[in-house]
Amino acid sequence: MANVYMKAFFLTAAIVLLAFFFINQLDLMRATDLQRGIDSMLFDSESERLVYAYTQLMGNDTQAVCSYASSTAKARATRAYELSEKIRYFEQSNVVNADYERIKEQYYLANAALYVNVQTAAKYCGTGPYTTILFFYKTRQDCPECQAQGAVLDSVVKGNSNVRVFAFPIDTDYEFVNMLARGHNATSAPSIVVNEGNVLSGLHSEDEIRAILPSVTAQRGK
Amino acid sequence: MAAPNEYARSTLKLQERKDLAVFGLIGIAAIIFIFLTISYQIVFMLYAIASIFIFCTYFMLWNEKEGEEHFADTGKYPHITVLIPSFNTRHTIFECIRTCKGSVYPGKLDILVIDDGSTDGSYELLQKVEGIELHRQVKNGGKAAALNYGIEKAKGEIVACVDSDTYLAKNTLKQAVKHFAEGENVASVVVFICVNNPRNLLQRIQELEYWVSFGFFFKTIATVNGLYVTPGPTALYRKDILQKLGGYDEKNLCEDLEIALRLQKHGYRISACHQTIVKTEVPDNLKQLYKQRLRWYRGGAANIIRYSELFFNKKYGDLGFFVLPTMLGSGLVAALFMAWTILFTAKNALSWLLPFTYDFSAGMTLTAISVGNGFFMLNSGWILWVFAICIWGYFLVKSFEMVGEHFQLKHVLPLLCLLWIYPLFLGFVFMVSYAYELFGVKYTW
Repeated sequence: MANVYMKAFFLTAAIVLLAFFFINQLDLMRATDLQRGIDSMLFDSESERLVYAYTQLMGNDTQAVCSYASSTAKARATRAYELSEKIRYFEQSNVVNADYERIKEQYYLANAALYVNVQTAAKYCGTGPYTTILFFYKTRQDCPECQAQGAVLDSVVKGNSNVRVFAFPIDTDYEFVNMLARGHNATSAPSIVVNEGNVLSGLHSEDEIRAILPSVTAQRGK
Repeated sequence: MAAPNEYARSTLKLQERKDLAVFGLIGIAAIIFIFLTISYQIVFMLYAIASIFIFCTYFMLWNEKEGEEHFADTGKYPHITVLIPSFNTRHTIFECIRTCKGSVYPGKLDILVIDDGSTDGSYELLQKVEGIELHRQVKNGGKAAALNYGIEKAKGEIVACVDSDTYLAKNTLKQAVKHFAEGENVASVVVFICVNNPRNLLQRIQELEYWVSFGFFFKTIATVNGLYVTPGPTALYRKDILQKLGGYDEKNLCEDLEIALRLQKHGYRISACHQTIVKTEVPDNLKQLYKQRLRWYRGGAANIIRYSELFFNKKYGDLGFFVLPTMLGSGLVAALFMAWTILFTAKNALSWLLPFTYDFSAGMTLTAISVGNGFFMLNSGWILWVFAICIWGYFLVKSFEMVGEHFQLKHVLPLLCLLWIYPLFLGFVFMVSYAYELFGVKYTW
């Protein structure tokens, strides 16, 4: 009878191994899909950067470049959102999560590159494709204000399709994120920066944010 | 037909078992511990792996012992007394008696009906039935008491306890009685119990459940003398052994479970006969089913504690080392998992109320983005369950073979419910039964 248990044990081990083979495949498929999405985001940012650099270098007409940038910018921001959602599911669904940290870092990098490009376009073309809000938050420490601020931003964006939020955790070791935060003197979380303006630390209500949105946009128009 | 489900119960009050509360506390502590320390995914996967192991063991047992159930006709057919306890069962008992009388049995056979103080007029109707011996208990004392009374009155060497809502096949007694020839220490023979004429989805689910439990699983554990219950609907006993052990426990919620464990404890064997099928009425609505299972689980818990010495005791072999621990374990884990799922869902619901998803998508949930590829939401841990369900599917196929049924379209929906919703329901009832023990809720039928 002990024999039966041994056999069952080995059969179980074999089945679990086989199952893990499939689990690994599924997890890899997801990781590959995400990697492809991030690569494509980075590629787009890089090519756009080249276009700006080249146009500036040659002193060519900026009109065509700027209209191209504004036509693609919103779609790219939406794709960045999609990716962030996928990464969230990736973390929940994957059993083998070895790639998670790397993918997360690359995602933040790609998102930062997108942000920098949007700001470049704003400077270069005089007006950006949309109003940007930089949002710095904390993940490691408990930060209820960050959660509350995130909810407020959600609702701001819902009411205004011309606003995009770029969210970054400031309690990580990503150098480019730390650079962004330092550049805006954002030392605490939550902090928000509207259209490269002054940093607003602490929790702000929807009304407060809405109040500065149009005025800041108007100033930029000058 | 508004058939009462199983034996209509009396309102007998039993003493509380506060000691079970300790187990409830341990359970709650375990839930909290798991909730705080281990991710849902890991619990989910460990549960799957444990299930795979248990299923593999059954698979091995089945394949080792398959085909051993052959009995030569010894020509010995001892005197059988069929005992039918009845309490307000006018809707089913006459059909039950008709099938008992229709038994083809070469030996002597008599039918003894014990009316347990019915108030629905069934006793008066029973008086007109010919070919049965009718006794009446004036005061309603419960099923076990009625059976004990019947055992004393029975003239047969073998007693067949049959519920009044259960219908024997013609060959049931003849086939089952042969199993007593396996040895003097075979104290009881159980038969393959199926659902009578399922009329709605809930009964169809139970039909499949009975096929797999009383079919595949009972046949398999009987090969290692691991049967821990001699199901109430129909079981045969050697009368002298029952009497020697003192008959049924009249203060027990699950007297059929208790007597089986008592037989096992005293070293007797319980054999299973699958060459015949008896049909029984099952609850046709959730409330009845809930009540029935609550009684099973509460009775189960009390009896497991009472017979805890059987667990991991060398003397009781596979019953103690495998059958009982997995039976208890699967119930406990199902309950824990259910509790855990409730907590997990509650936590998520709470996070949704106080938006919490801000690791990544801080300020990003704007357009309710669809991820597009559904496979991002498919938890990889499910793959383990797919394997577990495949092995279980093999058991199902074997059970179908035993009943002589073919898988049809009408089985698909009950099967899906049996796999997905039913376990949650049972887990929930299991959890409630522990909560009841914890708060010392009085036993009632």
